[in-house]
Amino acid sequence: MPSLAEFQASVRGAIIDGDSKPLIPILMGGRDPEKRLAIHQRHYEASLVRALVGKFPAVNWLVGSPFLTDSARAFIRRQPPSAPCIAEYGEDFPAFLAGRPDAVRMPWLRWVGGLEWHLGHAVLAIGQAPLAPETLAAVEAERLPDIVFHLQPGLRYLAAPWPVDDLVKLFLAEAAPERYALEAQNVFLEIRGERGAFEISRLQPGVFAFRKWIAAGQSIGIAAEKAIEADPLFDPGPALAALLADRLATEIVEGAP
Amino acid sequence: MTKKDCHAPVQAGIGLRLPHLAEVVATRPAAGWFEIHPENFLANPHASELLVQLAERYPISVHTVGVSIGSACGVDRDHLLRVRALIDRIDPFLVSGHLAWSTHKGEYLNDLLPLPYNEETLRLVARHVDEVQDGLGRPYLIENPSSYIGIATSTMNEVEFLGELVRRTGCRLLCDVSNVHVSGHNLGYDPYAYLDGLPAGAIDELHLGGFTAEDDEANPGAQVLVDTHGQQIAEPVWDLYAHAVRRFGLKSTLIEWDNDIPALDAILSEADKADAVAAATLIPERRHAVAR
Repeated sequence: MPSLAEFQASVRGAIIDGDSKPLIPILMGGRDPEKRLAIHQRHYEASLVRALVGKFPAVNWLVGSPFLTDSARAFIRRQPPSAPCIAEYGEDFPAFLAGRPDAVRMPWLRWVGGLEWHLGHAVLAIGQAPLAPETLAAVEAERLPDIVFHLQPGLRYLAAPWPVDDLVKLFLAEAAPERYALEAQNVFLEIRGERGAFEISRLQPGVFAFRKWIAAGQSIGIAAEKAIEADPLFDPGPALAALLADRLATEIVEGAP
Repeated sequence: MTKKDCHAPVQAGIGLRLPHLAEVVATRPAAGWFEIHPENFLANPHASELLVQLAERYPISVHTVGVSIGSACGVDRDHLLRVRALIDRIDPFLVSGHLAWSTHKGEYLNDLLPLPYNEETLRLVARHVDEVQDGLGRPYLIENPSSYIGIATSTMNEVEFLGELVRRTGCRLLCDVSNVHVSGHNLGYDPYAYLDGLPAGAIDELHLGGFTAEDDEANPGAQVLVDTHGQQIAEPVWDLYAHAVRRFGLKSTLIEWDNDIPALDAILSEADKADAVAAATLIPERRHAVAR
């Protein structure tokens, strides 16, 4: 008699790997209970494929449902969810899609998927009160590089070698031109979402790096160094002023006056 | 009804799913209460914000689908902490989950999977019930599952298992009447006898949901009932519900509708029907009691 742990390992193998053999001797239900087990197998596949496909509607629009659905089926076997919040499942799916054999002719696919992933999470955020400018004014100038901000929770940053924001905007506008030539172009995108709404902005490489590193929890000084690496002409002063003017910073978490 | 009116409402409630959330916030329908799955809200701050607003006005029941109380590898404590944080914000009148498992060594199988009913499982589930109730800081109702297969390593039936679980842990039960009907059909037992065997004093909530009849590949020519929560409640389940009300009394009853979700009014109509069935069931009994 298998232990509970052995039984559950066998059920896992049947559902994800499709191997029901170890379970057959202990299943009951009809003349062929293995067929009843298939109800659970189908539910696992259908529910997760539906969830994944639903997160990437622009990708679905661009590549078609059969390709996306087949890829989702393969993905859920390769990488099952690790936690019960299925909303959090699928971050690696765009990279997986890009590795599919049919994706060779769609080098932009990974980036469209990545943008959709960020959009799907940014819109769920709740905006917070922006940092009052006078709070930063109270910081001594020599301590300014040590300041670490929290930014609005609905901010995401994505650099892509294709203008995938244009593709997503075409999808959202439901405007498919008869011909559309997508040419490689580096874009540096800021996605800002809040309570169901979002906007996508293109940033200069230096500003993008500055904001991205601050969002990652780095100090103003380190973020400025990274920004200058990305763009030698980057000027931290105006970039910091714009960050505050755009109401992106919500609090000082290190180096507060 | 407002939240202050009643902490364990006897008027039927409905499952609140994300497609209806904005409408419910905007229109404040005359629902007795709402049930939510915390897993739909934990990664959604905007929806959680709206839920907190609703919880000021309506009684809320929290029905977990990811706690996996039957997992041999243990309960996901990180998930439990997140559920606890949500519960602390909305103060539900009930918190419940399933007699099932979903997690295996860090993989979440996104289904409510069956357990063998034997002493090993009973000890494990009892330990996990204690752990979950400690973690949540409140009672955790256990729901009978919908079943398609039995497991030959079981040494007791589901009713005996649940009764012993109640005896060992003091936990409360959620009786899903539709699941009793579905499992009884699929595994060949009498659903009325099942209800009669449950410890009536432990039942705090009832569930009703639609199921789908499919060709049973395990039994060519027969049908298997699949617990899809995707349509109206079937007539035999209403009859079984009336029996449950006679046996357990008037309990908070939930209408579940999770797939092919219709307009909100359609679900509220099912809740009205549940109230009508319960009232029609109990009125003759009350008359009888008065006459005596």
